[in-house]
Amino acid sequence: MIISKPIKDFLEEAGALSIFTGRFFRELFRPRFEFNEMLRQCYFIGVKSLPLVLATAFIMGMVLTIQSRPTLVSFGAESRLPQMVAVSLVREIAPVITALICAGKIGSGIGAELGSMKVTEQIDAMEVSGTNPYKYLVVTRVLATTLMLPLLALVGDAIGIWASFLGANIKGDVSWDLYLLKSFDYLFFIDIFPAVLKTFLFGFAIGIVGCYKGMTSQKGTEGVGRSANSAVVLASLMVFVIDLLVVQMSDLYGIIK
Amino acid sequence: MKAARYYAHSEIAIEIKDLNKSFGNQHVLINLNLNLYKGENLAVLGKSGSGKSVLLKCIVGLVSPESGIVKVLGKDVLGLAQFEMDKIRMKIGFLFQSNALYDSMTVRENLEFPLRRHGLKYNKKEVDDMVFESLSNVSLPETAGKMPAELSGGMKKRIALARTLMMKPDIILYDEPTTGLDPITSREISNLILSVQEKYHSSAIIITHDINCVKIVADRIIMLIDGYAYAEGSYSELANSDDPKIKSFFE
Repeated sequence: MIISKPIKDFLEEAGALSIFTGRFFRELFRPRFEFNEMLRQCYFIGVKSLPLVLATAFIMGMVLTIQSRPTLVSFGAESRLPQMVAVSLVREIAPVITALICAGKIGSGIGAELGSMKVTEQIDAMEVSGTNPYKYLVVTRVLATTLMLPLLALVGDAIGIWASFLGANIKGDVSWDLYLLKSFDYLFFIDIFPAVLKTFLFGFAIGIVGCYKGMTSQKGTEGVGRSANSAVVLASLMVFVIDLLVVQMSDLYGIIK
Repeated sequence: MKAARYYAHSEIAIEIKDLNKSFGNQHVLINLNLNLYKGENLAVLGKSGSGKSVLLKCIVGLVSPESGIVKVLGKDVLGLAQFEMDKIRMKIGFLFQSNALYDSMTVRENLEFPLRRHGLKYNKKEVDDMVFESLSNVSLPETAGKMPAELSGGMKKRIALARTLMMKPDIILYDEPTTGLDPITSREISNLILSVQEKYHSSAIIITHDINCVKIVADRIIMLIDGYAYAEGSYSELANSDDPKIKSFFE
């Protein structure tokens, strides 16, 4: 059977990425556990991305409020503003925006770092000196992104709602207590659960894709640039695909009301 | 020029038989045979892209060949389990062409990294002594707190060598140790290779195309041409050869 080259490349890449992911789970449960290195990565990935996540969530919360207001006013439903913004922020916008920002910042960072380690033989050196580079570099980073992204997204939720309160006060006048109370009116555990669940998956995808692209980087500095770049592109795409799947599934199971 | 010593009567440290390796249609190693004797410095001379680095990577198990036998200190390394391979690797030092210093770590952390292996336990005093000794060997004891990016090319090479010496390996594999360095630094590195041999009585394979380096360090030379050991001998034997392929290296 003749398969055209782009399709063949795509299938090969998907296969290689799947094998890489499979290896992650194999190595995950095998000792030795690089706990310190994982904490170090959590610091780099979590704390260092925090300012960026805060800034984007703040802006998204405020902008969403300002944009939604005229429409709601025209329906005479201005009092519903907090609920609407809170639900869209928590369910969709904060997780996805946080994931996209992290795909850009962390995905490219991991891709470039591991890529340059690969082309300057540092990964070979690690292997030769008796440290499994897959455990030391890949498992730690993937765990760190998987654990940190939900936290970042939750902080994003909080900042977004606060910014939305500020946005509502630009033209209106509402107290923080009332605004918060209204925001939580329509927020149920069942909203937050799938939203948090998908951020774990986003984090996992960003970590795996970044590491995969870095570890398979081609020779030369151009190769490093390309792995950083394709890590961002693929990770961002994965974020949307995962989002679509999770939303579809929560809809099918009747979680979205 | 080094007063070459003859080691063929001593034990074999590395034995390679009929080694074959190809990438796609490109055959880089074809039925390669090579022995490294204990205590000797063996230079492997060849053009760029002649598979010299691949040869070293086959020895430490970073590349697996299609066929052949690679024995390190009497043990066949092909198809060894990870755990067994790590034990062998403890006895081999590898100096990478690009130094392979970890950018994100200080010189000291770089040197301590090989000590992370399974089953090794040292107290702080022992580690300090080992780091100091290694750095003194390459006469850079004051660099411990620096990052690799702050060092010059020659210094990086020395630190990489110091890291290799941390485990006091029986065998050291040098992958183009002088490539990319100026002639004076190259000579310093070559002399360093020599002093390591004298101090630790280690055996070494030095992969290079730098004839001046070969002249200083080699006890024996193997010329790798077209994927196999084309010629073998001491520096003076090969330098006086009439074969055009050999002569081209010495001109």
